[in-house]
Amino acid sequence: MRRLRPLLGLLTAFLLWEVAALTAGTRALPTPVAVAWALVGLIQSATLPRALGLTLGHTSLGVGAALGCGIPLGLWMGRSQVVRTLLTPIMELVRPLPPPALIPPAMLLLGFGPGLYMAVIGFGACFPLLLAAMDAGRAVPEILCDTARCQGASRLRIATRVVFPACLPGLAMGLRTTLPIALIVAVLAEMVGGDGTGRLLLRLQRTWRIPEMYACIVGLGLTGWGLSAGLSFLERRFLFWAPSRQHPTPRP
Amino acid sequence: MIRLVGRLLPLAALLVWEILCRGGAIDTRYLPAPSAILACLAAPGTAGDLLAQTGRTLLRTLGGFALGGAAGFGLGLACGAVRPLDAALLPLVEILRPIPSVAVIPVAVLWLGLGNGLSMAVAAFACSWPVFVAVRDAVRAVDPTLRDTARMGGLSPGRAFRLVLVPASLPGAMTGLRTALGIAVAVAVSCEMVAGSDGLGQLALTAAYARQEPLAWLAVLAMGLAGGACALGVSLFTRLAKRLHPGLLERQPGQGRKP
Repeated sequence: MRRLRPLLGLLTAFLLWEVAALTAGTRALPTPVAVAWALVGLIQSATLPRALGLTLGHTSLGVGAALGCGIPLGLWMGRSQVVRTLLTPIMELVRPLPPPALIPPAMLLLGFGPGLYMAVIGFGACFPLLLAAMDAGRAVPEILCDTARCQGASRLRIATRVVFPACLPGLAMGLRTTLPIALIVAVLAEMVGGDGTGRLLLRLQRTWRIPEMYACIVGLGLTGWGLSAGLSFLERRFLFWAPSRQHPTPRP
Repeated sequence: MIRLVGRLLPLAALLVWEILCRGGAIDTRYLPAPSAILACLAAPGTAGDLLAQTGRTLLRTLGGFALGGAAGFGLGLACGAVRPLDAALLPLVEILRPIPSVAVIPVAVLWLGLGNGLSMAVAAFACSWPVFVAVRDAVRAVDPTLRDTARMGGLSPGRAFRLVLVPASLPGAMTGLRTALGIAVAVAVSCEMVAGSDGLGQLALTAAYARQEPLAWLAVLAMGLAGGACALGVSLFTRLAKRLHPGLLERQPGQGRKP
């Protein structure tokens, strides 16, 4: 019975949805069965997979840009007091800007295309990564670096063999907060201009294909879930030295 | 010394921008000089319009934040304190949470039409999740000693919940609320861009389409200021709360570990 409890909650939710859809009788709320059939149809006609592929491509473009800028800069800011005090004011000035705000200027400067996605998603995804890298860089135990230095390791070797691995769990955590943000900004940028799932979603709504629209949202939710699940799988598989793995926290 | 240089760095960046624009290195048709952007503010009607649109965006942001924060807080408290409820709701949460919040906009258009309600509802949906997760984890991470002391002191479960669990989960809730407010600003602006007729997002987008670049940049600046004002408000609130109730929002030792 305890095992079945999660299933029970899900089943109740679906039943409630079904009943609500049947009693409401509006076209704005299709039944779950209709949505499931619409999802099958969208997948069979390859519309949804293609759109999701485009969205994932845009997301990875932006996340790649954010990784390339945010992590080196964040680690540098974390390791060097001078760089940190130098760059903190400008970072604090730019950070409150909501990522969607960048869409209109990016449209003007870069036009519609990969450049727009890269700039806007990269901007949104950059700050969580940068902050995580900075915190991780500051938290590297000094004794590790000192030990490596005593053994005669060069600065470059310390950076690549000691500091970077020590920061990797923190970076993975930053990536975990970043991925959903990147996906949100990607869908938004696609809605405003261009192609991909955001565009498909708006088109389905405007042509009044409501079950398909809900199916599209389900597809997006599954994508988001898959991204975070894949990331935590990679984390469990490869980051065996993460602090959360070394001291298993007691369950209260 | 370095701190001073760091503070002057944004000004220096603005200056370089201005000089590059004046010198012709940047095409001012797309990226106007900072002085041109500010000069646009002097055009008749612009400043007032900008202020009004900022007010609308802030209203939507705060409305959505209040709704979503309250929902996330209540649900987080319930799920943190009542284990069976959490187990029953977990799959539903795991299904709903990864949905990118802007993907809900078309559904919200169907249900609520275009207007303030749409932006508020989508912003509330987006910012209830961080609050929910933070509060649930905070309630679970409450020191078992505290719970046991409350029980030994003869507090009924209801009173223990009110007097021990809720105050002890406030620091965790605060971090969730801070994240949520930033999300609320971004989502409100997104809603205005995709399905709106006014607000800063729509203003920036229409100005960009109409090739009024200084106005578009001004709207972007206003969005940044709105986001900054929200962040400043949260930090002022925390400072005030610390002044009035020292220790209320501080993490207790042994707390903050993930359960």
